[in-house]
Order: sequence, then C-alpha cells, then structure tokens
Amino acid sequence: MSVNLSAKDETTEMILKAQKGDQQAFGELVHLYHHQVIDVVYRISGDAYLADEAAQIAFIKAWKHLPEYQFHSNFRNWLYRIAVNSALDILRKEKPIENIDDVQIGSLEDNADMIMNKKERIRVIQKAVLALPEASRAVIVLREYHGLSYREIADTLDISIGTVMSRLNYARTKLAGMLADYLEET
Amino acid sequence: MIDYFTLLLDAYLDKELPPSKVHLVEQHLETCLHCQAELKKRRHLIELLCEVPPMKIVEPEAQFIRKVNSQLTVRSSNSWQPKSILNISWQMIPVGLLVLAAFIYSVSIISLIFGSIPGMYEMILGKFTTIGFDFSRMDPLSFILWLFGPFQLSHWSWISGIAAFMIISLIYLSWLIVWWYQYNTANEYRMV
Ligand SMILES: [Zn+2]
Repeated sequence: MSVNLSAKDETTEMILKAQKGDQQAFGELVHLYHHQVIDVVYRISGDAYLADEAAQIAFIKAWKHLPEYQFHSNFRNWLYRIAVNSALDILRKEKPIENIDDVQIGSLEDNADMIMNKKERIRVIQKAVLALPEASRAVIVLREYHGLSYREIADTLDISIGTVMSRLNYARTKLAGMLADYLEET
Repeated sequence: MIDYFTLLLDAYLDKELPPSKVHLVEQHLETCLHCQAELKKRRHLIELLCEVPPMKIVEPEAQFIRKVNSQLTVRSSNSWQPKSILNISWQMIPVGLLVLAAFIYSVSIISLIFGSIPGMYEMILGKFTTIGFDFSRMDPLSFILWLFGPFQLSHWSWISGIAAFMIISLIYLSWLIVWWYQYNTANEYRMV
C-alpha cells in the first residue's frame, strides 16, 4: 500500500514537472502509460498500426493540454479520453464503421473443429467486438479490458452514467448473440 | 422473458448497483429462470472476452517515445495563462464595474474634502467652466457623480447605500466562487 502511494506521488511529481515544460518528465509518463493507451486504441480500432499512430497523436495532444489537467480525475483516464477521441477521429476519416447487422462473424457452422482452437476463437471474439457500433465498443473496451467504473467511463467518454449502462447492456446483448456458439458450449 | 431486473443484471455483475437494489435483484434471481440464464450467459461472455490478450506492441518503446518527443513543441510554464485569462474575462465585467464605482466614490470623497476648503471648490468649478463644463446640464459624468457621489447624501443615507452595495457584492462574490469552482473542476475534461 505504501509502495503504491509513493509510486502515485512520483507520478504526480512527474505530471507537475511536465506541466512546467519538462519534456524528460513527460517522456517518463509516456513510458509509464503508452502500453495501456495503445491497448485501448487497439481494442477499439482492431488495427495495431492505427493504434500506434493514434497513441502518438494522443500523447502529443496530452502534452499540449497538460497545463489544463488539474488532478480532479485519474491521469490514466484523462489520457484514455484523449486517445479514444483521437482513435475515433482517425477511424471516421479512414473507413466508415461497418453496421453491426452487415458483419458476418466467420462461418461458425462450417468450422466446428476449429471452434476448439483458441486462436480462432480469439479472432472471432475480436471480430465480434469490432462489429459493435463504435459508441458501445468504446464502453465495452474500457469496462472489460481496462476495468473502469461506470463513473470513470462516463467521464472519459463525456456521456451520462445512464448512457454507459444502456450502451453496455446493448453491447453485451449483441456480443452474446454473435458469440452464442461459444456461450452454449458450457 | 425480459423484465425490469434483466436490465439491472449488467450493473449487478459489475457491482455498480446500490445495496438496496442488489438485495432486490438477488431476491428476484431466486425465482426468475430467465434472469438466472441471462446472468450466467453474461458471466461467461465476460470470461470469453478476457481471452483476447493485450496487443503485442508493434514498435519498440524507445522508438515510440523518441517519435513523440520529437513532435513536442517547447512550452514554457505559463504560456497557457493568457488564454485562460481571456477565457474568463467576461466574467470579470461586474468586478470592473465595482472597481469603477469604488473609484468614483473615492474621487467624490476627495472632491468633497477639497470642497470643504474655503474657495477650493469654487476654484475647481471655475476651472471646469473655463473648459466648457457646465454643472447645470445633466451630462453622463455629472449624472454618475450625482448617483454615486456625495451629491446623493441629501436624499439617500450612507448606511442604506453601503448596505445595498455590500449585499450586491456578496451575492456576486458567492456566484463568482461557485462559477470558479465549476470552471476548475470541469475544465480538464472540456478540451479533449
Ligand atoms: Zn427476471
């Protein structure tokens, strides 16, 4: 606990230094958070290179707006917000998001043998998540893969808690439908 | 079939329900087969989603940090401050008015003191009339002086004037504090 606390103080120190224009301190922050930031973007976009690009843009934006950060929210979530917005911006420009009803998830019936194959299963899960509308996809990624609370998701995506709940409900219902073959197995 | 409680299952699973509702959901789960099945399905779904591992980083960390660093613009510690002052300037208009009123008050008081010195008031008045200023005409400046200055003494007591002034200042000040607090708490999420 005390270790955690001092690590937190160290991060605060780095943020304060970076706010004053210390690029080296900011480099430390990038080192600390870039894996998590890239992961959020990757899970939302499904594209490793786009994730890398969006994460870079997000950190540059974060540097620009760092003086406005006032420690009211978790710094990681603050970065997530910038990263998610950057990723969605790029996605909107590069390719229209496919409608959930148009996406065919593999051909599950044909490949009954492959269902047991974990690699294939992971691919299908990823595809199902990517088939969600971006609004509910962002919510499910922040919840399932990064463990944010409803309040944190609401702040990160600038939506109400009620919207978080309805999007999460929608996403899980859709995913359960798309991944029904795996869910009925056990 | 889907009922009221089905919609609460996500929040129940995520431990985001208030304790009073948790109890209700648990009570309902004992009897509703549909919700039991739905809860089981959702638990399993969450496990399934977690099978997807984190992304393998495509770019070495050092290279990533170098790329970011090369694109950072030099920023001095207070380069953002003028913008933030500009952002709030319109909120300061009432402050400006209060300062102006205080200024007029003090000018009036000083002029009153000068006026009490025999001959001084007439001298100043005389100067004003030589540059074309006529107190008998109600132009804006003399109107303000009449409103705020010692000229009002005859029809408005000092006590009621100061009391009104202080009440208005207090109301404005408390409003300003509330606004400032909200501005500061909301700001870091506003711009990105
Ligand atoms: Zn039920």
